[in-house]
Amino acid sequence: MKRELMDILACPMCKGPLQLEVTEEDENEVITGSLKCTQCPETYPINDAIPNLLPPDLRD
Amino acid sequence: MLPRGFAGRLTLIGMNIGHKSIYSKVAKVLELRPEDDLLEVGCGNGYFLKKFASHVHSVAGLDLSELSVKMAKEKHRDRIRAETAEFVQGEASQLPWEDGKFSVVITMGSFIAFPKPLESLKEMRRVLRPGGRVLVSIEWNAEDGLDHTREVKGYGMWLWTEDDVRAVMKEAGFSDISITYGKGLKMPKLMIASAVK
Repeated sequence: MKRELMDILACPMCKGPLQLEVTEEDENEVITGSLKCTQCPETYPINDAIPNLLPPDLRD
Repeated sequence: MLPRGFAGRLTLIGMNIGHKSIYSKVAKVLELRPEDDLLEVGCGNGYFLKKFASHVHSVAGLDLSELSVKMAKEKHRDRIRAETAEFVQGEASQLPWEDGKFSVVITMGSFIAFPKPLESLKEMRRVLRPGGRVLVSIEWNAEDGLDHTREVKGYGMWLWTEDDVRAVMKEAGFSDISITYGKGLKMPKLMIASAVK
């Protein structure tokens, strides 16, 4: 996931701003990490450079 | 059931072949402009966005399936690097974007499977700028003369009539609702609904 995506993404549940936490990153994008909502308690995982912004009840 | 693994990849490619003939009809209705920021809800493997990408400023795709998003990212690698394409895993009725980030939002072939069609249309409207355009293509519908009993029972597919589509788009807040028809493989009367925020 490109860091620039942070400029437009929002929490799918409450539409609040998200905060990026990076675990692994290469020269292009964030590979592993999470997107934490600053307004509600939800956190969304980033795996294989794909942000999983599914509502929590739809996650595997 | 969401596509997974090698069989899932084949399924997604097979869906592209089925939908190939829809592209030109949808492109005509959309009248894309070079300054457009285009979002596809239910983007699959990014096939349509790949075709549309050269006509617009940027493309974004959202899909329920991780495999679809992965394949879309592979297909759009160069544009992602150039920051003119982006793909996320998500659900249509709870879109993960701020208000007014797109000028065009489309959904092609997925609307019949949306569990919450009204909420999804409201979300699509929310992420549109004022004056932005929405397009919903409904491959199988109540107007096409086919027997969809199996799909309705098996997959919980919604069998949309033209009146129902107009009503749900109006309820979602869209105006200038227009419906036209095209043809696709095994889709004798493909419904294309478009409207404006």
